[in-house]
Amino acid sequence: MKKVVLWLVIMVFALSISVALAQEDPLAYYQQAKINWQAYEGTTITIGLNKHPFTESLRPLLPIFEQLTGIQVAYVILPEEEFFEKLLVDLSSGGGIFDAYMTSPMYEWRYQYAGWIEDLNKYWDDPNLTDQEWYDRDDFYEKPLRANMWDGTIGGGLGKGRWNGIPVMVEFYCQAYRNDLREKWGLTVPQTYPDLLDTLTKAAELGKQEKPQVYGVANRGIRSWSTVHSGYFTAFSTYGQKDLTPDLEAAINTPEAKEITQIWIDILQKAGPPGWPSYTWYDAKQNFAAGRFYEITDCDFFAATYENPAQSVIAGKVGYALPPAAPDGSIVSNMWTWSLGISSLSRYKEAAWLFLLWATAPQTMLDGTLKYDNFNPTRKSVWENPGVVEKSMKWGTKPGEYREIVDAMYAKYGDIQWTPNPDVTTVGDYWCEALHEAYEGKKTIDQALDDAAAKINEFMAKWKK
Amino acid sequence: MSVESRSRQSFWSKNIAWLLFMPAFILTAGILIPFGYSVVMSFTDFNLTAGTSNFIGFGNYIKLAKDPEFWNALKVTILFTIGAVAIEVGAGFASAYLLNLGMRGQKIWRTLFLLPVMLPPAVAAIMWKLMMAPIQGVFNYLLQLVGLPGSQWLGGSSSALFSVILIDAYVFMPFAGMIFLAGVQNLPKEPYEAAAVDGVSSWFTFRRLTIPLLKPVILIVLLFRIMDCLKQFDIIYAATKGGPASATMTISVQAYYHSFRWTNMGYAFAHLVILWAIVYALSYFLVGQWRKAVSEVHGY
Repeated sequence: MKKVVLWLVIMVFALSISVALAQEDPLAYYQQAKINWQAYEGTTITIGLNKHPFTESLRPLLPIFEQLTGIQVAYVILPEEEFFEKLLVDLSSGGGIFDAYMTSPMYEWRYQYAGWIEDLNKYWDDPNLTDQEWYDRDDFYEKPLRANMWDGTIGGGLGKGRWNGIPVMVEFYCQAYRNDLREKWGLTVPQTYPDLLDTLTKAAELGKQEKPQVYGVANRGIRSWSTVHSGYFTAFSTYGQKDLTPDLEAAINTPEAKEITQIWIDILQKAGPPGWPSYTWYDAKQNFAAGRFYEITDCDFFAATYENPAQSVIAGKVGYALPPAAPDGSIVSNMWTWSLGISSLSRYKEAAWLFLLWATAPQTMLDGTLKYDNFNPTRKSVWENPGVVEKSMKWGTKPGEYREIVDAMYAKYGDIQWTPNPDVTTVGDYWCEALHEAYEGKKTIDQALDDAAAKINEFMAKWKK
Repeated sequence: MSVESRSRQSFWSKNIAWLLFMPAFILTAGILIPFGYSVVMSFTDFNLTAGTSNFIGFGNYIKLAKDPEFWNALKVTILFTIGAVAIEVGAGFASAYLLNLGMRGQKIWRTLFLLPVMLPPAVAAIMWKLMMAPIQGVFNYLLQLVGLPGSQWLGGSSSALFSVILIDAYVFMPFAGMIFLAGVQNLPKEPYEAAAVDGVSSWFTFRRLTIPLLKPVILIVLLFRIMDCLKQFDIIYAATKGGPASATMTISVQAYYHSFRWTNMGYAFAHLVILWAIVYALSYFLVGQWRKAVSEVHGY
């Protein structure tokens, strides 16, 4: 009897150890897929990465991929502007340094037209490379997924045709404000853009009494399309405006466009950071997290930084709200999604595809968000994961405030607002120049936007039928 | 001597001149071929995205002549060059004088003086950008400590050009200073001894002796710094990207926008060919002046 008990104890012990080991084995999840992960063992692939929270979430997970596949991953990380310029040099010169890279729909339109990015459909449809059931593509939110598809129609065709990138994070643009200061100063959360101007002007004035001074609103401002893209394009779209007409004529200088641009420039002049044109989004985020601004009208996912006490002095003090509405009550937000794509110049395209599959698999994306704060997730299963819910539920002035905004963006307000065309970033660069000129008082809003529209029309002439 | 070794010897003796010339030829070809390619491409509508590369004659140059952005870039390039060269030559000259006074710890001072030249210009630009940040930068902090209002530095269109000139001067002033120092150390002693005997003032000595004797050195510094400032790209791009608005948009930065942001390569090459012509003309003039000055000072 004693022997039987002893054997039973040993077996239970051994079973528990093997279960524990299986649970801790990070490869087990991926090995369930009907994919030969080892098919390209010994290959080294190089990934181009932007300095971004997604990148920070990916790096600690890379050893799992290397162990799983035997593929070595080298990477280059650069700040956003420098990253896209380096990538352009690599792709246009035929250098082929990068096998895979971080990309986004706005850039994919150029890369696709120039033949620099792979159509992922052919890898997706190859049963030797992909286990579709295991990967579960339907788990992705539709908006970021379709934003990475384009049929090549200049001025349209989004969500159809080629599949250029797999979305790894998504951002919309909302209001984040210091709720502690709002209560102290007796301010309300702005519901319209004139209201936003009024509130931020008051906040900038009241902030002068604080030590150190608190400024009104943080917003990116460098001479780049990206300055146009976030809070400003959200306001512009909310007023029912488009960058280009269906005939590819610039539409940034309509009366309504000028009206909202005037409000936006007034906000920046009266309540924006001194030296706004030198502000990057990195500066805006860090200075808001350092408590130097009352509000920021930029990416919603910055919340993960604001609410992290290790990176922020305002954790637990921030309120989140939808962007203000147009006079007719409508709200629109622009959208940006970072994605992973494969270079057409890569010599290891299949190995790069395995990397994409792994990096965007449900488990990898969950680990990235849960352990390393990669917000906002693009997979429903990650956003709805209990751990992620618990973490993000606390953000805001009341439980679930932040999550409600992201849900509303996904469901209703947010989407990509740019008109698809290969020169979209050039359109944005010219537009940004107009904002700078108006902000600096070198031109009136009318002159600045009219001049920028003329330049855009000249540049876009080659795409008109 | 066998027939074979005699013929080998005659091959070397016949072709030695060509063989010795070969490295210089390869080097020259390495410079001229890309340059020639750029000039040819400036006559095309070469666009990386659209995939076009059609000959359009002087189309890009005619467009440039009518483009107000190009004229603004030319103006900014000239202002930047004048500002940066003036500070670098003036401060470099003064520093060379100070470093030649024989102060204690002279070797350490000279080493410290050279430190900025060792920094990559883009790194220096980023370092200064942080120090010039309007809210958290150390410059505005110091200004406010002494009761002065802060500046927008790189973020204001009225202060941005001056700010990038300061960064350029920080990096390259020591280079000018070191060339001046070498010149000052090599000045002949006799004229100064004669001046001392005649009891002339030090200002007179400086004006009538030092400056004329240093003229070849001054022209060399001007040549290097003017050429470099006209082409300056990395400091400006890293600090302002040509903004705010187009306050720091030089021809090099504008050419970069057209090429590596907008893939409009033909038009970018036209910018660069014009810039090359300006640099070449100025260099030609300065080299001529330098030859004249050398002949005046040294008599050869």
